[in-house]
This record gives sequence, structure tokens and C-alpha cells, in this order.
Amino acid sequence: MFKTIFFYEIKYALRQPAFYVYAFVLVALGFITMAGTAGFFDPAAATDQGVQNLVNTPLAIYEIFFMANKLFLFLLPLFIGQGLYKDYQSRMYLILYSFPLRKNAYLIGKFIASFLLVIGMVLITMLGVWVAEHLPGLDPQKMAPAQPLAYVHVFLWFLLPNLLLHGILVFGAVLCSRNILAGFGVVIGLIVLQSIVENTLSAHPEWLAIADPFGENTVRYITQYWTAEERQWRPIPGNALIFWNRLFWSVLTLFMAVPVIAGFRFVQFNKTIWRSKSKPRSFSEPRHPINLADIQYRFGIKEQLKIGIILTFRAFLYTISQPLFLSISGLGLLSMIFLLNRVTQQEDATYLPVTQLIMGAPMLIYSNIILLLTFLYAGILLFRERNAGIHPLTDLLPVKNHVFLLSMATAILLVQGLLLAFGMATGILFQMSQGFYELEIATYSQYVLFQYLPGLAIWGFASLFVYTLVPRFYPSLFILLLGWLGFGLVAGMNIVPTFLLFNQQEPLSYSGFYGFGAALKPFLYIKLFWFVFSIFLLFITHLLWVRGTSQSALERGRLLKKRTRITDLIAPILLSLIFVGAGMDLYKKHTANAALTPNALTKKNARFQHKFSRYKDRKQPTILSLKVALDFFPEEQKFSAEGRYILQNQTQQPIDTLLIKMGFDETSTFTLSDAYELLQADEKAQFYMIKLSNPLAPGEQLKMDFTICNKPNTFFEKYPGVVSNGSFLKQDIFPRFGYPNEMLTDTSLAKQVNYQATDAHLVDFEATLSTVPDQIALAPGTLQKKWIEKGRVYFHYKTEAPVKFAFSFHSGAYTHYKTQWQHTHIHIYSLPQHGFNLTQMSEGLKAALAFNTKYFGPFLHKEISIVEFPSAQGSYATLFGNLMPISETRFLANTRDTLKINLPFYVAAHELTHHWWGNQLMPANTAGATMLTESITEYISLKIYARQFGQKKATLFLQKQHQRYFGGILASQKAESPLSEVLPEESDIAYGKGAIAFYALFHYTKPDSGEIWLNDFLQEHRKKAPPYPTPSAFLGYLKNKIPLHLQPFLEDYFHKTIVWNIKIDSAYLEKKTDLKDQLQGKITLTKTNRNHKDSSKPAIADWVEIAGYNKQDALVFTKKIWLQKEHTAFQMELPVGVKKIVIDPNLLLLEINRKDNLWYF
Amino acid sequence: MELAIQQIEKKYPNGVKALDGINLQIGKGMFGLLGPNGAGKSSLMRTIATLQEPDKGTIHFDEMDILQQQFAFRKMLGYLPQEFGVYPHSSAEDLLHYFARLKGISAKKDRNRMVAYVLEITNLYDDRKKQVIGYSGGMKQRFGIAQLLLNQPKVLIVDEPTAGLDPAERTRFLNVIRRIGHDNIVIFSTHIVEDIRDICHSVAIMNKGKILQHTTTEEALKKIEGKVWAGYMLPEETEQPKSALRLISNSYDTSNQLVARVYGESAPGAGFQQVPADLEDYYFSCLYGFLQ
Repeated sequence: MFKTIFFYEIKYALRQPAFYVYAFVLVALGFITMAGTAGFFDPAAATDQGVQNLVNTPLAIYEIFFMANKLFLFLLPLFIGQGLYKDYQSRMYLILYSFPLRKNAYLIGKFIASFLLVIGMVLITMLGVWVAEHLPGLDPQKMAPAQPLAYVHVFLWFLLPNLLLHGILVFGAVLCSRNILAGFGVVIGLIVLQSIVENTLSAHPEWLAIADPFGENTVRYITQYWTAEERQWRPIPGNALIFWNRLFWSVLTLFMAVPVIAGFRFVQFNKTIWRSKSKPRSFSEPRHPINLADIQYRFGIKEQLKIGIILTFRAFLYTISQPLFLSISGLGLLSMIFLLNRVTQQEDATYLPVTQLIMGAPMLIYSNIILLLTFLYAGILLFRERNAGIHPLTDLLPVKNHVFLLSMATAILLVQGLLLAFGMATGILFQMSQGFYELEIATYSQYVLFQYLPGLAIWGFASLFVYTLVPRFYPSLFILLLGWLGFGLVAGMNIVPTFLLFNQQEPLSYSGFYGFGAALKPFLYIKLFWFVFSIFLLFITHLLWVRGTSQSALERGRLLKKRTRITDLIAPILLSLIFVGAGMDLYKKHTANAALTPNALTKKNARFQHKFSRYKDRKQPTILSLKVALDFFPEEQKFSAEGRYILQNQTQQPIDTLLIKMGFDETSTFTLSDAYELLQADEKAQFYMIKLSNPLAPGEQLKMDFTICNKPNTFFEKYPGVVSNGSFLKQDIFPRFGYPNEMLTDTSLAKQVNYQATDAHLVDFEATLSTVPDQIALAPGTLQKKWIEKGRVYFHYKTEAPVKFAFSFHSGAYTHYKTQWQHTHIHIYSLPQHGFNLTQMSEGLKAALAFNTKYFGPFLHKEISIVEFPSAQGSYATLFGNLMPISETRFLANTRDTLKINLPFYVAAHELTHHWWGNQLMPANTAGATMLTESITEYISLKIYARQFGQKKATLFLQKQHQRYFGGILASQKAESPLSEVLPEESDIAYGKGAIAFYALFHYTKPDSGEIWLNDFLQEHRKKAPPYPTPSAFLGYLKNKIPLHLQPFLEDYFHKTIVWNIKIDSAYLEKKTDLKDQLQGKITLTKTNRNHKDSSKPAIADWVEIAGYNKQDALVFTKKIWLQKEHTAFQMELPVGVKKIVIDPNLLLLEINRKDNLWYF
Repeated sequence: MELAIQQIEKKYPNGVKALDGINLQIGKGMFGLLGPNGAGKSSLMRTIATLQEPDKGTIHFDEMDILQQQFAFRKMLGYLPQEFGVYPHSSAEDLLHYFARLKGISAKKDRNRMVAYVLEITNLYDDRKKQVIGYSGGMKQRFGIAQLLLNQPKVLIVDEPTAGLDPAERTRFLNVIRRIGHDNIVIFSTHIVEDIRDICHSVAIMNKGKILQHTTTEEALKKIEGKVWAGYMLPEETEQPKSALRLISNSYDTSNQLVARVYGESAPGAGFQQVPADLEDYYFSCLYGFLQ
């Protein structure tokens, strides 16, 4: 009997054309995914700049199939669900259930047959990927040697068990409800569940690894500590966690599905859990007699409109009362809440739940759930009458097709609007629950009306079109899902302009300064463009509207021809004309100044290098001073500037050739005080090579006058530096000299230039800024004068002493917060509504002034100003002379969360410390430069933090540095540099590891000696002309200062990439006296060098601290022990009452796993 | 008032020719469409009901071309399909109100009256608050009639409505039909001859997509009168081709002997006696081609 059912099911499926369509789509998808990323279609375009990622490593294969797993999930209701449901749908079950069937044979036969079909689909997708991997003509830089075992592993460990377990759940749900939609609900539920689990368990990765329903996080957990090099070849090893994850889900699945399957009976009526009752309606009329002659029938436009409204509300109420709808949207809201928690509680700090944070990622995820519901319910609504079997009655109603169609479209809009409103309400409630009451309903509404609703509406209309064109529920749903994922995938590939892909757009970004700003108009234009198209689709849907018995394609074609009158075509033709016209217009606007494609950029760079790299060693003059007059025009998003450089030949030879690089996004002109001729120019790179008529003799000076303004704004591309509020320009607008800066390895050459400006040392700076009267303009220096002229406000700034060549210029409607530290004035210019953390920031500045002036000499300016800039320009903070631009996002930290770092305080303290480390001490232009700026600054920030908030909080700070370092290196695809050679882009090493390294090194020296040594080095090099200090010079200096026993320490932390793993193997306490206990234990220390080129085994010569804590978790003792081998037995006397010992309590060792550093008694 | 069907043809994608040049003129009153299963009755009904487009031909209701003016025709059309479902969790009354609204009765007062009327006439008034999905077969068919009556249709199409009803339900149902069939065109399709005999004045016999005969019930009986003979036969004898025997029907009597009814101008053999013909004899004679 099993065999009969099994083979019947298989044969039935193989007879369906849809089966082959799915198979074709999946094999094509698999093929395109691999071939596309491997550069088969456009080798040059697919080539990344910089890091090359191999696309067929075992890990990459896993990633592809984890992604595909989500798509495979939808096959479960399509095959497994449908296999069961077709008996109910066709009412065959009424007959079938009366047969002498065995329950097990029936259920198992059906399940296994349909499960094998799903597996067939999976295998064919894998085949597509595999074939693409072996194509000729792939980019060899992207291909690792093939590892076919990766396919086998991902299939056996993940795809097969996932689909089996989830298939059982789908099967159970359909069996229990006798409705295929329940199977679909299970699938969406699993996806949402994964996001919930990820959000709730993100702090416990090993639990997450076990609880993830798909096992993705299990693999992530297993491979989290892999080096970049390992990621390129290493197969995923078998791991107990995979087993536990699989076991956990097996047990959970059986627990849920077994009662359902065991409870199944061959009966006509299922047990229902609830039964709704219709409310009786009472008649107002008597029963007899009835005269029908005067009953009015109305069919006019007004009546059709009224009927449309009735149908709309009926469809709307029907949708929102469906259990499936309620559960999916409920899950959506739940996942939004989890995500809200996550975006506000980030690793570095807790952020205030401002509107843009809520309507960003959390709402985006939730809107995807809304989209899934749209896909689902557009079909359910459209086929509702058909599924209920009432269509022979309703199809005949004297209601026009367009009334049916429009009522459905409106109902979908209403549902989307309602769900968005719920999202909004969730956000508002979340804000209030966090004690945040700055509710910006207008901003919420803008987000909903601009960013979310139009996109959803377009998909809603498109869904109605697809369901009408292919009037079968599941194939249509599949088309929609495929379209949505497919367009997203293609958009990610960057092959065509995104706006040409159906309804694809980057989400808007919001700033407190200017809302959505100038990006809003093009965004809405593109939305409108696709909206017009979706309305066009609605017209076509109207023509294709199915009424009456199901029709063949031929019949529908004939019907379309018959239905279509010329008048019906006017609107669609008009719409398509508008659509095509707008498309052409958009394309024109897009190409007007489209960003260069990676291909074109590579070519451009190659051309530039070919032409000019030979001049890279040409000596250039040095900038001595800069005087600039800069006018902001915020409303027009424009600026113009005029400036003058005084240049000097500071070399020993005459200079006759100047290499001048102008701002890339600006239009600039220049004149020199001496005659010259143009030798070569690369207009695209804005690079000019000129020959001076009279070579500049050593020590001689030259004036250069220049003008700068932004390139004209276009529809899509506006000059980003100037905005209606919060303009922010930096020194990159100015002309610069020499071949573009490269980090040098040859230290003798590198010492001649500092790492931030190869053409300047310290310069005199003076700026006159003008802007609109309601804004304040800011630049480094001290305000000399402020005046109003011709309706504009002018500010004149001048620095008291020469500064590093790094400046910024701002204009905005700021509020001004003032305070003072000793004689130094402190100003904070911020948005009025962002005044949450001004005190914390000024405290940070004061603490940094106090600490740094104590150890490293005076602050060289009369005042220090913080200025807020829009988040679109970045989320960082920096210091230009005495002006400290800090991103908007940093102003929105929530300092009430005491478990997190006080971000505003820390940022201000850190940046101000750069006044000494980065501005007074300027490192040479060599790898490792940021160790001298960022690492030391971060270490000092830690000391300041400890001083302000106590040691416990400082440990928290240190903990974050550990997370930062390990998070950074584990996510990186590149080999890790040692601290002494850290590259500017390796900020996680410079900051995270840097702070730990200095802290650990100075921990074992006398108090303050670290600061004293640092100061000695600073005083030797501060504000000096070249040669600039190098990291090796600094480390050499330090080596001479520190005691001998710390030398290995210096080696491990600064010159190598060592990570430690220390573990207590055993420990026990023995009572010695009434006051003393004897502790005996064994510890194991292993050290790993993350540099795979260095195969030498790291020597063990390490100090390790042991701390003991009593019942109240108070510190009772700390001792250090010196380890020289891997396994060490130790013993020591302790005061009585120790309940817990901890190895390395001060987090001095770079260690990933600290769980085995504890021992409880 | 006349429904004129001309040269209607319909071929399904699987190659079956469901309607093969149908011509019919149907006037006021009850019109019965009789034919075996698969004769094309439902296809014809659906076509008249504008639920299916014919490949060829025209249908006019008086001056109105109903294939072109579907919307106008639907205002005056009532259709009870052979099978239909209902929304779950809806009472008869709720559904009728909903349909009445969609059929253009916008005033609530009118709607109340109309719904009460159709519930009364279909004898569902006392069950109006029950969910339709829980109705018995006959009740559900009467509900079908109730919804059909809401727009006071001029043309009513009822497709095999009595199939599966018990005798009492059937009688009740036919009474309802009879009551409303008076002033309108009612097209009643069935494969049960008795239904036609009981209520129809005019009848057409259909098979394999073609109309074999179109006449009144009196005419039909007249045509076959004196041509039906009954007598005992052995079961083996009836197994010969019907055309050779001209066997209309056969059945066993109480003595378990096979009684055959045979068509013929004269007695087909010894032992056969002329018997009074009925509509069923006419129907089968048409179907088997004895009557031209």
C-alpha cells in the first residue's frame, strides 16, 4: 500500500508542468549565483577593489546554500503541503478515507514521496552551482581549488536535516489544519523565529549555535575564530555543536509533530479548536405580505463606488481576522521589538531610541514581513471566492470587474497601512518604555509615507497582476518571491542601475539636521516611476480579470481581445508612455554624473598610474600657510572659496616641477605668483603637472592663489558637503602637492613626511567664512570677528599657533553650549533637539584636559569647540586643531545605561587627547603610524575613564576593547598586522589591541611610569620638523625603558600577532590556619601566533595574575605568577573565605575564551 | 420576452466539443433541458449565464446581445449552478444581505424586505440564522434559489437542481420553481425526466453537444403515442444492440421477470402489448435515435 501511494505521488508530481518550471528556475538560480559572483558575466565589473574574496571556498559554498535554504523552505508547502492538501482540496479525501488504508502507509507514503521531490529540487540547485564552479572563463582570482566535499557536507549536515525536520512541521501543520496555508505559516514562522533567536541570544553565541533552526549560527560559531587565511581553504569540521543543534531541533520537531500525526484519523471532519458564531440579525419588517414592485435597484457609478467600499472593507476585515495573518504579523512585531533592543543596545554603547533608529533597520525588517503578508494575502483575497466555491454566484453579480479589482487593491493598501501603523505604535511604545518622550510623529509619518508604504503598495499591485496573470496560488506566490529575492540579488551585483530594477531602492537616510534632505526628491521620483508602472499593471490586470470558469490561455487571449476596446487602452498607453518617458529621463539624469563603475574606475586608476607614477619621487614644496575665504550657500547646496597658500622649497635642491592634485568633487582654478606652463593634465583625476619658468630655489617661497566651488548639483547627485543644515567640508577640497599619498615602508623616506599630510608640516591657518544669517559657520582657530554684510553673516577664525594640515568648515543652525575648564573655553555647537549629552561631552573634555595637561604639557589653544555633523557624513569624531567635529549618532547615545561605556564622555576625551598624540606628536608616514596616535590615545582615554568612573568601569572599557579587537580580526578577510605595522584601515587593532597592549605593558611597571615615558618621547618629538618619529623608533625607545622581564611582553603584543589561551585545569583549597588557606592548582597556557607565515612556536614567558573573590564577590587577593611552560602547577597561601578564583582578572591577555579562567569552590 | 440562441459552439482545450451548433428559441415559462450526463447541458447553461465564452454564435435576450452586454444582462439574470460553495461562518441571512447589496439594492429597507421575501418563498425563514455551510442538500439548493431571486431576474437558469434531493425536498423545491417561473424565462436543466414532466411546458433534449428535439411536453407525448410496446424478455436478449431491438428501457417486475419497453410502429413480436407512452419513453427514443 505504501508503494502504491508513494509511486502515485511521485508520478503525479512529475506530470505537473510546474515541477519542471521550479526545477529550471532553481538550477538557473544556482548557476547564476555562482557564475555571477565568480565574474563569468562581467569579469572586470565583478572584481572588487582591494580584497579578493574567493567565491567557492567551503565557507562560501555553505553561505550560498544557507541562503538557498530559505528558498527551499518555500518548497515544503509547495510539495509536502500540497501532496496532502490536494486530497482535501479536491475533496478526494471523502472517498479515500473510506478505503481500508493504513494510516502510516498513507502518511509516510505521502511524506516520503514529496520530501524526495524537495530533495530532488535541492540537488538540482546544487548541480547548478557545481556546474558554474567548473565553467571555463571564471575570474581565477576568485576561485579556490574545488572542494566537492563541501557540497556533501552542507547537504548532509544541514540541508537534508533542515528540510526533513521543517518538512515534518509543515506536514503536521497541513494535516492538522487541512489547509495548506498553515504550512506556509510554519515556513514564515521559522524565518521569523531565527531572527528572534538571533536577537535574543546574540550575547550567548553557543546557545544561539544550538537554537538556530537552520544551523547557520552553528557554522558561524564554529568558524568565528578562523583567520582570513583559513577562511580561504578550510573545510567546515564536524563539531559536537552541529550534533547538538540537530538533536535539539529533532527533539523539538518530534515533540510538536508527533501528537498531531498520532492524533490523525481518517475522519471527515477535523476537530476544531474554535467555532465562530454568526451574529443573528433581526428583521425590522413583518413577514407578510411583501410587495416587491417598488424595490429600487441601482447600478450607477455612485452605487458601484459604494459597493467598492463595501467590498474593500469586507476584504480588509477578512484579512485581518485570519489566524495566519494575525500570527505572522504578531511574529513580525515581536521580531521588530527584539531588533529595537538590538539597535539601541549596541556593543560600543546604548543609543537613545530616536525615530530614525526605530524606523531604520527594525522597521525595514518588519516591512519585509508586511511584504510577505502582501504576497500571501493578495492571492488569498483574489482566490477567496474560488476557494470557497462561491464564485459561480459572485462572478455573476452585476458588479464591474474594476470594482472588484480596485476594492482588493485598496484593501491591500489598508492592510499595509494598518501594519505600518502597528509598527509605528510599537516604536512609540518602545520609546516610552525607555523613558524617551521626544516623539516625532511627523518624522514617523514621513518614513511611512515616503519610504515604506509606496514600495509596499507597488508590490501589492504587482501581486494582483501576477495572481491574475497566472491564476494559480502557489506558482504565483513563487514567482513573486523569486522576483523579490531576484531583483534584490541583481541590485546587489551592481550590474545595472538599481532604479531600473523593479521597485528596488536604497532606503532613505535621515538626519536630525535636514530630515531626508535632498535625497528625498529623487527617491520619490523613482518610487513614482514604479508606481506608474504598477498602476499600468493594474490596468492590464483589469483586462485579464478572470470571471467565470477557468480558461485556457487561448480563451483568455480571445477574451482579452474582445474585452479590450480602444477606450480601455488610452490609460495604459498613456501610463506606459509616462513610464518610458520617466525611465529615459531617469536614465539621462543617472548618467549625467553617475558614479564610475568598478570597471571604469580600475581603468581610470590604471591610466593615471601609468601616466604619473614615474613622478612619485619628485620633491615638492611644503605648504607654510593657508588663508581662505569660504562662502556657504546651504539652500542651494553650494559653496565657493578663494584661498592662498604660501609654499616653500624645504628641500636641498631647486624644484621646477609641481604635481598638483585638485579636489575630486570640486571645480578649482589656481594661479601662481611666478610664471609656469602646464606639462600634463588628467582632467578626470583632477591632476596637473606644471613646470615653473624659474625653478624654486631651496628656501625660496611661492604664492598660490586658488578658487574652489562644488561641481554643479544634478538631480541624483548633490554635493554632499553642503546641505541645508549641517554643512561639513574638510581639507580635501584644497589643492595638494605630489603624487597621491601612499603608506611607505622605507622608513628613511617615510620619516620625511608625516602620515596625514605629505606636503605640509605645521601651517598657519586663517579662514573667513560666510553663511546665511540663521546659521553659524565654524572653522579651526579662535573667532577674531563676526559681522553681517549684505544679508550674510561672516566669521573670521585664526589659529594662535601653527597646526597640522587638517581642517574642517561647518555651517548649521546650532545651539551653543558654553562652559570652561580653568582658562580654556569649551563650546559645543549642536542641534537644539540633540542636547542630551552635552554635559557628558564637556565632562569628557575637562577630564582629558586635566589628565593630559598634567602629564603631557599645556593645551595650546584658548578654546576648544565641539561641532555636531550629520550622520550621512559618517559616525566618527575627529579633531582639527581646536575644532572637534562629532557625528550626530554620537550625540544620541543613551548614557543612562550604566552597563555600557559613557560614549559622549569617552569620545570627547579620546579626541581631545589627540591634541597631544596626533597633533603635537605627528608620526612618520609609515605602517604602524596609528599605533602612535590611536593606540596611545585609546590607552590614555582608558586611564581618563578609570579616573572619572573608577576601576570597575574601566574594566568594562577594556572588555569592549577585547570585543573590538576580536570582532575586527575575526570578521576581517585579510591577514592581521602586528601592532607595530598596523595599517590605517585596521582600526580594531590600533584601538582595541593597542589600548590593551599599552595597558598590559604599563600594568606591571610603577604607577605613572608609563605616562612619564610617553611624555619623554612626546617632548622629544613634539611639533618638530622632519624626521618624524616612527613606530620602530618608539618601540626601540620603550624597550630601553621597560624592565627586562617585560621584554617578551613587548615582543608578543607589539611585534607579533599572539593570542593567549589560559585555563585552570584544577584547583583546590586546603585549610592551613584559621586565617589562611592553601591553594593548589594547575593551569595550562597556550599561545597561538595568528600569522601563518611565522611557524615558530611562541615562547612562554608570561606574567599571569590570579585574583580571589569571597562570597559577596568582593576582591580578596591578587597575585601574579610567572609562567614559563605550557602546564604549570602552582600553590599559594590565601586569606580564608575565597569562593572563586579568576585568572587574568584585569583582562591583560588577549584571550578569546575566558570561560575556563574561573574556578569556584 | 425571448431568449434566442444561435449557432453556439464551444470546444474545450482537451478536444471535447461541448456545444455543437446549438440553436434554441426560449420563451416565457418553464423550459426544461433534458440530457444525460456529459451532454453539454451545463456548458450551455454557463454560456447563457455569461460565465463562459462560446467559440462561436450569438445569444440575444430580446434585443440585447448578452455576449456583448454582459453587465446589463447580469442585472436581470438569476443563476443556480449545479454546484456552489459558500463562505464559511456566514448565515443565510448575512450572505443574502451581502448579495442583495451587490445586486444593487442599496436601500437598507428594501434589502430587508427583499431578503425576508426570498427567505419566505424558499421556506428558509426559520433557518435564516444558521450557517449555510451546515445546511442539508435541499436547504442549500433553496438558498441558491433565494440568492437568485434577489434581483427579481427575468431569466433564471437552474442547473440540475434536484440531483441528490430526497423526494420531499424535491417536491418543495419544484414548487418554489413553479411559483416563480410564471412570468419569466426559466431554463431548467436535468437528467431526471420526472422533473420536466412535473413543471415544464417546453422541453429540449440534448446529447453530445447537440439539441436533438425541442418541443412542448404535450407534443412530445403525442409524437410517441401508440409506438411503445411492453413485453417480457430474457436478459440475454436485451444485450443485443438497442438500435436493432429499438429497446427504450427495461425493468424487472415483482415476479423478477424482465419487462422491456420497445419502440415500434407495430408490435415487435409475440407477447408485446401496446402501452401508454410517457415522457421518459420519448426522451430515450430521442436519445437512441428512434425518433427523428
